[in-house]
Amino acid sequence: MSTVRAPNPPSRLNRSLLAALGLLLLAAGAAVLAVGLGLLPGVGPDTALLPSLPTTAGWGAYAAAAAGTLLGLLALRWLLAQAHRRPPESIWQLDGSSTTPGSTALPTSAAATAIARDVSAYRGVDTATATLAGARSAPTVHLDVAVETHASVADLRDRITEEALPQLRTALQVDRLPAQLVLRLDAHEGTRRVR
Amino acid sequence: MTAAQVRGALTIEPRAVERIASAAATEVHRRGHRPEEGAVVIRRPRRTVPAVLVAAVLLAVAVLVIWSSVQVLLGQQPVVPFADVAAAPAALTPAEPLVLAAAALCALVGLVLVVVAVVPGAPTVLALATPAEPASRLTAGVTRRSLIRTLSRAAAVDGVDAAKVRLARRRVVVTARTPYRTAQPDLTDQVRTAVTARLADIGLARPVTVAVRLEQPRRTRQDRAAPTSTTVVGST
Repeated sequence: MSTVRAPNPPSRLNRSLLAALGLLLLAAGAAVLAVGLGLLPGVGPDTALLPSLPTTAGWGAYAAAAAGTLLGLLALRWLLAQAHRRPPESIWQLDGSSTTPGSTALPTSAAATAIARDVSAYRGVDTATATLAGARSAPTVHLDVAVETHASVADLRDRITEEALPQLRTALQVDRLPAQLVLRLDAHEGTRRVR
Repeated sequence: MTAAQVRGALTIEPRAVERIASAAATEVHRRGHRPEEGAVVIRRPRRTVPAVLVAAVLLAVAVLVIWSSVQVLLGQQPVVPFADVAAAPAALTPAEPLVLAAAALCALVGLVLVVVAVVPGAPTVLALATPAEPASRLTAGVTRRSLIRTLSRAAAVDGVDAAKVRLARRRVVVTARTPYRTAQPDLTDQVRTAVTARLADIGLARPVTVAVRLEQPRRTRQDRAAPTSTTVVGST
C-alpha cells in the first residue's frame, strides 16, 4: 500500500515536467558555460556553438510547423491539466448475487456524490465533496469537507466513521474502504467577533 | 508480529490464518507509516504557478514557430528570421561574453525550475491525529490556511483587536494586538488558553507549542497618544 496522500493532481505532472525542463536548461547552460570558460579539455572556447547547418530546403518550414504544432499542443495540454484537480472517475462492474442476477455498472462519481450529499447534510458542515479512487479491489475514498465555525471536529469524524462510511461500504459491496478526510475549518466568513 | 510469524505460530484452518495474517499486516502497515502518530494525510503545493508560467512560455514559442513557418511557406518575410537563427550558432563561440551570459542565465533558470520541482514545500494539508480505535479507518487532515484562520479567530479573546497566526513546524506563533495601553496582565495567558483549546479540539497529529506575543500601544509618555504600537510583552 502506498503512503496516505490526499489526491492532488496535477502536482505530480507539474513536478515531473518542471524537473525535466529544468534539468535540460541546466545541462545546456552548464555545457556552454564550461566550454566558454575553457573548463572542458579538448573543446576550445572558440569553436562554434553548432556546426553550420546546411541551408534547409523546402521541407524545413514544414518540419518547423509540425514541431511547433506538437509543442504547442503539449503546452496547451499541460495548461489545461491545471484545471483538473480531481482524480478521474472510473466505472465499476458490480456483480449480482444468486438472488439478484445481472451486473451493475457503477460510475464511481455517482457513489462519491451520494456520500458527499450525506455528509454535507450533517450539522456543522458547510460543503462536502468526495472522490472515489482506486480499483474495485482496493478503493479509497477522499472527502473534502468545509466545516462551519465552532463545529466539533471530533463529532464530525465520528459521524462520518459510524454513518457515512458504513453506508458507502454497503452500497459498494466492499469490506474495506480506507477513507481520507481533508477539513477546511471555519468555512463561514462574516461571523467575525466584534469586541 | 509479522504476517509470517502469525502464520507460523498458529495452526488453525487456513482461512482464519489468512484473515489474522492480513489483519496483522494491516496493523504493521498502519504503524509503518505513522511517523508521529496516526496515519497521515498530507497535501503539498501543486506548483501550479510555475507550471502555468513555463507552459505559457512554451506555448508562445510554439505559436511563434508556427506563425513564422507558415509565413515562410507563403513566401513572406517571417517574424522570426529562420535563416538568421539557424546561422547564429555557427557564427557565435562560447567564449563571447554575451553567449556566456546567456548560458549562465539558462543554467540559472534551469536550476530554479529543478528546485521548484524538487523542494516539497510547506504542506497545504496538515495531518490530524487518528483516534485510537483501529476500527475507524478514517485518516484526516486540515488545510493549513483554514487552520490559521480558525486559530486567529480563537485568539481574538476580549481585549484583543486582531490576531495573526504563524505556523512553524512545531510552533504556533500568535501575535495578538490589543488597543489598551494597560491590558490585563493575564491577556497573554487568555490568548494562549483559547488557542490551545481550539488546537485540542482539532487534534493535530504533530503536537505544537503555542507562543503568544502581545502588541499594545506604548505605555510610557501617555500624553503622546500616538497610534504607534510596539511589542511590549515578549513571547513565552
